Formats: sequence, C-alpha cells, structure tokens
Amino acid sequence: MKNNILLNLTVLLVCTSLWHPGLKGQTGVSGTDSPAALESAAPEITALKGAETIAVGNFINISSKNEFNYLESILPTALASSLSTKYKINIIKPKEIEKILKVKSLEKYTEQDLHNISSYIKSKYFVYGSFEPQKNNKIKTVIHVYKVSSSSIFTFTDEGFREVEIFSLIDRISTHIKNITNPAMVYKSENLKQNSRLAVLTNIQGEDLNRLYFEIMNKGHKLNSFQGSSIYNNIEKEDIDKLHYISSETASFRKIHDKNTIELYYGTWSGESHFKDIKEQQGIYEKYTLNYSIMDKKTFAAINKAAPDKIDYLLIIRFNKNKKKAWIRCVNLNTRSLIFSSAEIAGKSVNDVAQKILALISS
Amino acid sequence: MLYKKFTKNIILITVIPFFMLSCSTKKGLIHTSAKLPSQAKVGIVIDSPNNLKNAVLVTFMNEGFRVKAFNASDLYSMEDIYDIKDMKKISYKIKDKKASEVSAFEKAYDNIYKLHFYNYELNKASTLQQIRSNWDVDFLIVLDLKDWENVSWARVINLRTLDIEFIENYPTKYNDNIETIITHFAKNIISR
Repeated sequence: MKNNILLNLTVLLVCTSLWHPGLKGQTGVSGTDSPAALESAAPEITALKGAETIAVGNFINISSKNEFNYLESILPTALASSLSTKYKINIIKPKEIEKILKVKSLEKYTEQDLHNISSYIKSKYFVYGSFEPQKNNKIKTVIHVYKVSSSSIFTFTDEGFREVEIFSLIDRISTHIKNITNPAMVYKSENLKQNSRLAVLTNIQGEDLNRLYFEIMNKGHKLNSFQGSSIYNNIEKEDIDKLHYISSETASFRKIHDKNTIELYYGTWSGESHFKDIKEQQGIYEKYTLNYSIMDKKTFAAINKAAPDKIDYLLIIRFNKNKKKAWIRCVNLNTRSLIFSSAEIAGKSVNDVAQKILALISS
Repeated sequence: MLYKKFTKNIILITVIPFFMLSCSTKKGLIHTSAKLPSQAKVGIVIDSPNNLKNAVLVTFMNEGFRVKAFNASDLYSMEDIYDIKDMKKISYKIKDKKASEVSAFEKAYDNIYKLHFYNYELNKASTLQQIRSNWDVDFLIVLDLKDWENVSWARVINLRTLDIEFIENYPTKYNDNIETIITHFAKNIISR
C-alpha cells in the first residue's frame, strides 16, 4: 500500500514536471510560459539584470556653449552612481578610465578606437556619450554602449530637462543601459500603439507565417501584405542576419568598421579612367559604409508610404531553426525610430513567441 | 504487480504528451478582418501545374467569385532581389582583418544586401498596385495546397489597402482533394 502511494506520488511529480510550463527550461526575456507570465511579460524588462561590470567613459559637450561644460563631469558621475546604486552593477568610474586611457594617449577616442581600448579596460561593457543643450531648457544625450572586444555598438538618444529634472533623465539612461547589457540585449523606448498598421519581415513562410500573422491580427492590428503576398519566402536565415544591424533616428545597433581596410590609391601616375574608378569606389563606401544610416532612414520613410494608408511599424523577426527563439527589431516608421529590440525571445511555438513579442512591445 | 503498474503509468506519461503534441502541430487557424463583397474580383496566386490551377480557378468561380485572368505562380523576380551591380566595384582590396574588426567592404556588402531585401518588398507593393489597375483585381488570394498530414493555407490581400484581410491554416484531411480544399477556403472567405 505504502509502495502504491509512493509510486502514485512519483508519477504525479513526474506528470507535474512534464506539464507545468513554468518548470520547462527557457532562456531569454520570457522566463516562463504560463499565461500569467505572458500577461506580466513587459514589467520583466525592468527586472532584467544588467552586466556585472560596466566602465563609464566621457560625456562630451558637442555644442559651442561652453557654459554647459560642467555637465561633462556631472553626467558620467551621476550615471555611474545610478547604475551602481539602482542596479548593483560594478562600475569602473569615469576618473579611473580617464587615468588609464591618458597613459595610453587615448583621452579622446572615437568608435574606431574602441577595439584598441578593449585591451586596457577590464569590464564587459564600456559606456560613453555626448550631449547637446536644446531649446526649452532641455538637453539631448547620445549614449554608446560597447561590448568590450566585440565589433558592434548600440547607440541610443534620450532627451530631458536640465537642472533638477536631469536626474530622472540619468535614471532613464541607466535603465536603458542595464537592459541593453543584459544577455537578451533589450531596448525599448515606446509602446506599440493599439490598432496600428504593421509590416513584417521574417525568415518563416507559409503556415508558420500565417501563425505569426494570426497573433498580430488577433491583437487588433492591421497587417500590410509585405511578405504575405508570396507563397515562398526568399529571405533565409543567413539573409535575415543582414538585418540584424539597424540605424534609426533615435537608436542604432551597428558594426564598427575598420577604416584602414579602405585603400583607394591614386596619384599623378594614375590615368583619368583609374581616377574615375576610384571616385566611384569612394562613393560606394561613403553611401554604404560611412554614411549608411541615411539609407536606412530613407528606406523606413519609403516603407511608411508603401501602402495607400501609411504603415506605422516595421517588425523584423528572425526565428531560429526550430522556431522557438527569435530576435526582433521594431521601427516606428512615422518617426523612423527603433522603438524595440531584443536579442532573444523564447517560446514553445511560433504563436507563443509572437504572443510574447507583442506583449513586450505593447505593454 | 508494482512493476506492471509502474510500466503502465510510464507508458501513459510518455504516450499522452506525444499524442497531444502530434495533434497540436496540425492545429488549424482562421482570422478575418473585413467582409469580402459578394462576387468579388479576385486574382489567384498558386504554385501548381496548369491542369490543377484550372481546377482551382473553376472551383472559385463556382463559388461566385469573379476570377480575373491573372494567374501567377508567385510574385518573384530574381533580378529584383539580386541586382547587386554596385558590388563589382568594391570586390577587391580586402586586407586580412583581426577577428573583432569588420572591414569597410564587409559592412558595405551587408548593407547593400539589406537594402535589396527592403527594396524587394517595396517593389512588390508597387507590383500589387499595378495588378489592381492593370487586371482590375480587387483581392489577391494566395494559396498553398498540401497533402494529408500537412497544412494547406490561404491568405486574402485587399489590393486597395494592401492589407491582409483573411488567413487560414487548414490541416488537409485524409479524404481531401483539390476541389474540397478550395471549396472549404472559398466558403470561409465568402461567408465572412
């Protein structure tokens, strides 16, 4: 009898572990699959942990108004303090970074110096930025978040009032940094508006694409035909990875290129046709490498007007092979701004992943 | 006795989830956004041999649709996707690079590809608008028919708004044929 009870208990426990969705191994933003967790998916963004260590660098005044130079020391110090006290992130302070980089003659650095700087900074992320005073007592900040030793950088802008209100701006920036430095690399600047019109670019097709569409339409959104007018999807996994990087008005995630790989030699020895050729190559590099962000913004404006009634948002979703994980970018096409980005959202199926994406963007 | 009970339970634990999983993968779905007018002027996109295409068109006509003389296998044009003439000018002079450094060339290459994906969809949007004006088609019906144990699906696009207005995934049954599947889709599209 005792054995029977024990056996039944064991079976019950095994059943529970098989069927309790919350006990299934999941990674990413989602955490658990239960309906209740789906409902509360959005607040989890703020509950994401940031990186263990972040180095905070310079914040440069890019305006000609020298009376605001005092913010060059206040902004990074306040940000370091906010990250440390609010999110318990170990900070390498701006003064320490300045000291280290001064020895290496790297006090003034740009994006191209980051790989070099990586050798001297013992943290997982390096944050630096710039600011510009605006009209109406406001200040615009541009913040760069660089994963040390990597080849990519996340940049976002935020605006707030100066003086007393500046600390709420700092808090917002530190929340963004904490979310971006999480392994799920989450960035969210605004909610997806209800009943808006969406266009979707993804690497799934046919019945799976219908599943994704189903969840979007069920939420009350209008769906532009975009990829939906084709039977087959021409964008494969490797292709959609080209859309991994994105540039927008307010935020961008981009590759850091090495300027030294551009070699366009010419001189008195080169003839007219060679010079013409060089100029053409220079134009291509300028358009597609150096100033590429202009192209992305132009494209977003074109997609916005691609239908008789404007398309409000572009969703780029890249599913993995078993379609249980996806990375996502969401662009507000009216403002050409990246409003949501995540490196990984996990679920049980295409429908589940889609539901989680919509819950995260909408709430 | 104890062993037998244990085995029975284990079998149940193993079989039931698999049974439920196999059912769930074949789940159908349907969503409609707006009513399709009766006798709507439609174009059909389906990738099938001509004799099967005819069977599809006739079935739609029998259900009251005004099927227009537009018959496409898909909306592809490889030239639209792989028109990468800019690449020929920068296809050389790449130095060896360190693991974490991205060459300017690589960045240009990826960005050009990226633009082609965006532009392809933009071209398709203008193609859809041409279909509406050139063939006098109001709705485009995109279909993919599958055998038993697979899922046939349909989408309806309103060519005035370019919005998707109907989607359905229909798990094909054992005794289904082209006519029964198309009749099923047609009835669902019409009865909205």
